[in-house]
Amino acid sequence: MTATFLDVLSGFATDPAMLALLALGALLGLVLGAIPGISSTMALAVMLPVTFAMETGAAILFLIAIFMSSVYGGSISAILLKLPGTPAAIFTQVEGYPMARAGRAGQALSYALIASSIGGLIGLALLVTLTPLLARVATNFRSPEFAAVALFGLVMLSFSSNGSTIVATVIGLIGVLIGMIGFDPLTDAQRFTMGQPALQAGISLVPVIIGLFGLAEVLRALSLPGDRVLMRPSIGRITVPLRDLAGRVSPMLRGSVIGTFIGAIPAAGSAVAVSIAYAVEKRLSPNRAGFGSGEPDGLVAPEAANSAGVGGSLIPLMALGVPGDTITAVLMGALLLHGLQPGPTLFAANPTFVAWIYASVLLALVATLVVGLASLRFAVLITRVPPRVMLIVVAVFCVIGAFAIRNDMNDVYVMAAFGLLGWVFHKLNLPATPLAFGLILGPILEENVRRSLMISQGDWSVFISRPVAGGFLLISLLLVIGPPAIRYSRKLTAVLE
Amino acid sequence: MSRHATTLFAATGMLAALIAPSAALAEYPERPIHIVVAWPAGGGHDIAARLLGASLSEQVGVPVVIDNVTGAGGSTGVRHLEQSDADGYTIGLIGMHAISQSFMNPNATRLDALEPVAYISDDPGALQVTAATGIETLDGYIEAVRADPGALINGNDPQGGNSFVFANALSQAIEQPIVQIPYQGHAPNVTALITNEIASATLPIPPVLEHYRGGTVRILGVMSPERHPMLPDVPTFREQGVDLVANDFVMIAAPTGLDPQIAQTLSAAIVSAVESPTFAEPAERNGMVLRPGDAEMAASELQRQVDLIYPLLESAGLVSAELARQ
Repeated sequence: MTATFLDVLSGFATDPAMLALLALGALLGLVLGAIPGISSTMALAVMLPVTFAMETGAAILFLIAIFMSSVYGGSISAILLKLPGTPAAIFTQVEGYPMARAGRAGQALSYALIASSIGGLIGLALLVTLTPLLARVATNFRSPEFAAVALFGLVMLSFSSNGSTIVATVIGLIGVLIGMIGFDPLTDAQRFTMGQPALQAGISLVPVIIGLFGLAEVLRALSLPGDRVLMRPSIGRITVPLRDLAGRVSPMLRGSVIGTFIGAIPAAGSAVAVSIAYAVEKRLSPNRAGFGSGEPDGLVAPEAANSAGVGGSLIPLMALGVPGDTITAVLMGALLLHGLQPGPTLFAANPTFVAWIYASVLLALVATLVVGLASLRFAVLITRVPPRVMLIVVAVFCVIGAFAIRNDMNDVYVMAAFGLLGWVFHKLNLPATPLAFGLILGPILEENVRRSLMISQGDWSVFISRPVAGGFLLISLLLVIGPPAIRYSRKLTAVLE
Repeated sequence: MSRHATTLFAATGMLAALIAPSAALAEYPERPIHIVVAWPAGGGHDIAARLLGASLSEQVGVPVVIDNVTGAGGSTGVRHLEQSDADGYTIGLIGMHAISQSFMNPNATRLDALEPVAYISDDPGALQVTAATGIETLDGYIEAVRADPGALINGNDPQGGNSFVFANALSQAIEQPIVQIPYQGHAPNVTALITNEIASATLPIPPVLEHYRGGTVRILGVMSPERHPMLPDVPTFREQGVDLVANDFVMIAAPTGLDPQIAQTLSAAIVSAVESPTFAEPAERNGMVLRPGDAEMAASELQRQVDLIYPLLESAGLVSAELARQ
């Protein structure tokens, strides 16, 4: 296997045509990923027919380069414009955008790029070493486990915003309710649609995020007194001091491991991985006090998780032949077109194919780093554009991005409505991120709770009798009752003394 | 081949320009053709449309653009198609979802608002069980499900999806209720088979093929008149004495009111595009059973499917009152 891998790697790395293809893929992925409304999935799907004419190895290299660099590309627009370029970049803007506003755009991008590369490498290392083990873990995940992980995520997230936990929880639950609009996930019956075709398609995540963060930021800037709008932040230095970077190794590692594991669970996806990585950091980081106002710990963890998730999501694809998310589904489609069937027999039957994938991920990481570094200087120039012009550009991108994801004008209205809501939230000093969490995790929670109960014929004990599900629920419970219990016991001992 | 075809079409176009009264009509197609796909990028329909787009573009000499207009069980995309101009520049890929939604969802497009243009492929249903059930044959399955219907849980689409229709058709053919648990899409349904959350599934062949080869999933029968080309060793239901034929399909439709000449050009171009190796080779590798046909054949297939699906939806109580047939 190692020999095959090295053969393939050197074959790729010494062929100028392959290197050109790699660079092109990385550049395309970076640009497409940075454009709001073009997700990694769409970037891959659009390029799919092009790859059919290529040789199989070249096609895999090209597609994985696009996939990998679109992950970082999504962060560029999140950091500079508060417009997540891909759904998985929603947590990048939480800390990245305040950094950019504070004149540290260059550093924020560097942090994101470095975290992305390290996360990607760790994800690849775990993919290479732990695939059989993680694939076995993944096959233990049934509906009750999916439900328990989603609940765990919601609990973590209610603690992850500054300010009141109760307020964050309520806003998160509103997000869960919004996720119920449209077709019932299990019966296709209509809910909360009031017979309106526009509501039947549901409120989807991308327009909500673009409105809630991107458009709301435009509205906020417009509502400032005139002269303040015109203030331009400085770019700041681009390089990150090595000492600062060394201090952030732990969040990157935690993010990478979380990203790989959650990525390996079929159907969880990168948006869930980044949410949990951010929430974990909110509790564990020594710098957690600065979260929400541009703390790099909160930027590098989700970035690393997002990138590590690429390796993670390849685990069920390669070992089980099951695409874990929509991105790997497109990748699998591309492999099928080349007559390659990922699945349980893959490792034994086709080691070259496995080597292609490993080598492609490694080279794609390097290419993303190179293209990303080369683009840093140009990317930060965006912050030099006069704000009057920039606000218009961002607003236009909000409309295009919301429309492009499903080619549906209703999504633009949804985006505008959530833009207004985001602005109102800002005025009332309410956190907007829990709403996005609720919308991401709510449908997963609902679908799996209901399906678990259908299978158990209404017996709720399925959630505690299965060890993994029960474990997640226990941790969630401890997270909720732990802090007040500790506070209460401290009070009690104080009184007793 | 494709250059010849392009020349041929160009020649036809010029000839038509001399005869036809309207120059605009004669020049069809003169700008990009859009194919509406009702499902997200990367799914089976999307991949089929993108491959077809590449091939059709070679045939007609104009670019072909794929528009994913998704949501509401496919009905948003079909409605988008219905509301487009019937000028031959917007066509759509439809399957069984369009039929189901037209009876279940009062807001969905009625089938008479669409005009079949060409037929592309069949996607037969099949019955799979996990290796853990120990069941080897269709008879073994029928016996087990009769003995204890609750023991064999079947995973399938939510109401109206193709594997839902297949599960109900199976239930009717073996005169035995089947416990059904819905999954959103085929990938999570396959995952549930592999994790043994469910015992059986009624998915089409392509998503389970590799698991069948790997031995984790057994395929007990295919719901087509002839054996599936990718599975020559698996018998059909009919071969095993159960009269069950059910399949999903892929066809191209347009909003009604297409100019007959444009319809004809389009239909012929699509059929050639499907037969061309640009499309046929990758599509067959992807598990599509190609059966290209013109507008007339597509219309009769659509009617046959309606006759199959309507009674199944009706007996499951899913037909919306205002859409019920008299």
